[in-house]
Amino acid sequence: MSATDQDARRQRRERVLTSIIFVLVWVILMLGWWMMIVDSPAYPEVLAGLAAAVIASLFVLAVHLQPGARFRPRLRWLLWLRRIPSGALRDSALLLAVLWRRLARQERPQSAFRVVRFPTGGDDPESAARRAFATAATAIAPNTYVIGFDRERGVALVHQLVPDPPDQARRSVVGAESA
Amino acid sequence: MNPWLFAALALLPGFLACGVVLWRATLINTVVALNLAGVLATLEFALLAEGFQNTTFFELALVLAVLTPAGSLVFLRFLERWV
Amino acid sequence: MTWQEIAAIALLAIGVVLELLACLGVLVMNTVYDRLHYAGLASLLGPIAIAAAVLLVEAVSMAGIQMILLTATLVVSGPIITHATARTARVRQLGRWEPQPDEHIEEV
Repeated sequence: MSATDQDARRQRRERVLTSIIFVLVWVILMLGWWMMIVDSPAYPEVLAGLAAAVIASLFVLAVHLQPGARFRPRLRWLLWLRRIPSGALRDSALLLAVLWRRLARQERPQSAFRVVRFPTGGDDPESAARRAFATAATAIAPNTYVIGFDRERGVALVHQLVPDPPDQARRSVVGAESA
Repeated sequence: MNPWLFAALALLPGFLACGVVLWRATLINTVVALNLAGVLATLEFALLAEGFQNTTFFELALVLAVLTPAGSLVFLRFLERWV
Repeated sequence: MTWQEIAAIALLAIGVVLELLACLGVLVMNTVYDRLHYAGLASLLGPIAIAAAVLLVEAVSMAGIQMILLTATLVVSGPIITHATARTARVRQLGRWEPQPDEHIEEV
């Protein structure tokens, strides 16, 4: 067997092993979730949970094997979430103020789309994870949400109910200031 | 009647608002109202679980919390591509 | 009535009022983009306040844990649905979601 064939076989074995570990981890997580929900150690419940967890884990593996569906988030990104609690309270107050003005004075909100510079990256798993994380985390504070990332221009398209000053708008998009 | 059941009752008018939007607004706006109704239903089940001291309703609420966004995503997929 | 029960009732009231105000916001706003902000509000402070009320009464029991999981699901899934809905709305309206040159969108 040539060196190339041996390399190919080794890589195939590694991929199979990685997939098995991946499925096992997901089965354990999902079975744990199931047991937390049903709150019963009865044998039929555990069997049913195990069957459901295995089926679901195989579906997760099928998605994971698709190109472009891999994410590699970084733990340090959790630091970006430190402004979210205060931002959420501030934005909620803004939204309630807009609602009051709408009801009391028939004033329409001056909402607007904004384009915010963002390190969009490419198709690699870390950049994909950064964009997904930014999308999910930004909209927790309800004044701003992300619509999409234009990778050619390196920007994020967002919508704000109450348009912030430029500095504040950049801070509203989680991860934008890391550029 | 305890505070939880009273809260569950007080939350019901929210469904009326969702119903008005579902009835009068354009298709994409109805998805917003549908998802909001799902969130309200989830909270209703949680309040009823606490009000009746029946933890089974918490499981219903948890399942609804997971399935409501999944259903909305299916609608959005269709609206974006085929309808 | 213990202080926990009083605090739980207060948090319950806050949660319910916030939910109803979010529903009112969805009702009175004119565009889907504006409505989405209030739908996002409904998935945030209301569920958190109600969850806090449940935890005050139930502490870390099975009910309390399930309430935490439920709230976390709502808080995490809300932004995802908001993003997906806004994107779909722009695609339906403009054919594509990307910013168009004739929109003159401010870049910050």
